[in-house]
Amino acid sequence: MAFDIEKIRADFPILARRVNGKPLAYLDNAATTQKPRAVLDAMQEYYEQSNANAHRGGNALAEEATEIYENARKKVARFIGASPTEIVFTRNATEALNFAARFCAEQMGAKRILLTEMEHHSNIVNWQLAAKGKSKIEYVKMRSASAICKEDVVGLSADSVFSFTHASNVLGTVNDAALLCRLAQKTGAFSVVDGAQSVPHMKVNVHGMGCDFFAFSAHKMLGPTGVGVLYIRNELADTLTPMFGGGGAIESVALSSTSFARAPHKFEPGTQDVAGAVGLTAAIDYLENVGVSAIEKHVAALHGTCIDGLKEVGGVSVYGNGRKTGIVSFNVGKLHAHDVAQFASDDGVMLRAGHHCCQPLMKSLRVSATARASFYLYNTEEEVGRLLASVKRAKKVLS
Amino acid sequence: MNDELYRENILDHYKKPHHRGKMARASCSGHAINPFCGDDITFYLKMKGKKGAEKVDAALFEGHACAICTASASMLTDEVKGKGTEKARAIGKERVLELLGVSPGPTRLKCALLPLKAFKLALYSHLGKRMDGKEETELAEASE
Repeated sequence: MAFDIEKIRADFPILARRVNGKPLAYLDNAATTQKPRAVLDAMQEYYEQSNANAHRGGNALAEEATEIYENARKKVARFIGASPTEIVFTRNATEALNFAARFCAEQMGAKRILLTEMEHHSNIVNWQLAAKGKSKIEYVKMRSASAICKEDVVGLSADSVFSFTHASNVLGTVNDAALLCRLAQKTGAFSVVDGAQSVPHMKVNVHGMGCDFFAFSAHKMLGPTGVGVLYIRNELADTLTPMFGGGGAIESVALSSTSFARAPHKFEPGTQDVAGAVGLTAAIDYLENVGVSAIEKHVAALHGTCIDGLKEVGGVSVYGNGRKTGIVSFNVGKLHAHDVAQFASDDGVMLRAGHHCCQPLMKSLRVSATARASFYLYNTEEEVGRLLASVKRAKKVLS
Repeated sequence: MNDELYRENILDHYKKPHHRGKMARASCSGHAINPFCGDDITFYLKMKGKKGAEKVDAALFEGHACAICTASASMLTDEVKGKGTEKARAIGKERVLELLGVSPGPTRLKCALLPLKAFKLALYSHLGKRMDGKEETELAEASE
């Protein structure tokens, strides 16, 4: 299928609206993406036609809902190169990473936790909570805004876990996840990968990568909010005890003890967000229909135009390399990122400004905040042009 | 348009802030952080006068902040100078917005109020008092 930007844009109802009297230019895709009508319709249709409690009751409708839910799991599994039994639905990537941290610290004997300075707070705070002062947390230092160097990954051993981001939400920089997981594996350490920013932009194969856990969110890849995924390697999933208990996750319950269902069901107690899983399925279909590599190419072109344009503005610092993820973090001279984002917002261009939930990374970059534009399949060269015009205007008024 | 938010008076204070710097022998100081963006403002006060009838003799601020926050801090240093503790205490959100002459949206309101929070923290640390519930709620807008 040819990459038809006009056709794609027409699929996203929100892109027709105006903000501050200007056509919406949505450049905050690393925060969350917009939803195509196909995703909204699929969720609506589920509620209108098939809603019942999956995995409950012996009625035809409940069976239909169960099948829809399990098909969603199969689709997600295929999309990231996993087996369906390895896919646990969560609320978001953050929740998935919190589960992974607690499994590692509480059940897998991780006494040493190695993270990187590049991490989102959701892959730092979860470990601090899980460690409870009993496990030691260390960080791979950032040498620059580049990817994690394998030489800097030191101190791993059989009682460690290495958790890192596949792609940075600030820098856009992509880490060689397979290489880093191999480093962990060689020492007997476990690996946890935060894929929130990578899955929307590139083909991911968790088996090829060799990670033990992998987390991502539906809402950053055209899907609904409220659905995330935690991949748990099969052999590992069997050994883990669920952290939450309830209906649907059990084999049998007696007054004093419970025998749990098999993975992944034992990790999903209570009524699940079937409509959300349906939305994620429709999002995957949409992305595959357009083509993940076609999207990658489109996003890289926008990224290139943006970088070139910012160079022309002059006095702009760009942090990292987000060619693959469509992320451009920047600062304009001494202007505060907030002010730059405000000028853009008033022009209908949505940016993110601040520390992007990455305060340790900001500290290592020696900045307090950056402005960030992040592109996706529905963005256009014209929108990049509008961003650049806003940046120029901010520079003129504020300098 | 920006012209509404980035008015002449705000730009003037942003480009040439009044009383910016560290105070060597401050009577007290207050530090406030905006967790949304990581901006921080420290307010230093020099108090003068007898106990019970003290006045703000000088105010300085420093920190990382955007144009709205910087302008707000700069204006506040002018505003509090010479005020007795009770009058200084009475400065609230409304007065800060009046000084700025704009009504920023919910996000930028936090920027506008951050210096007020830092100032109040400084003043209260000097008085050895705590904010009352109403004030705390108002200033919570600056940090939540």
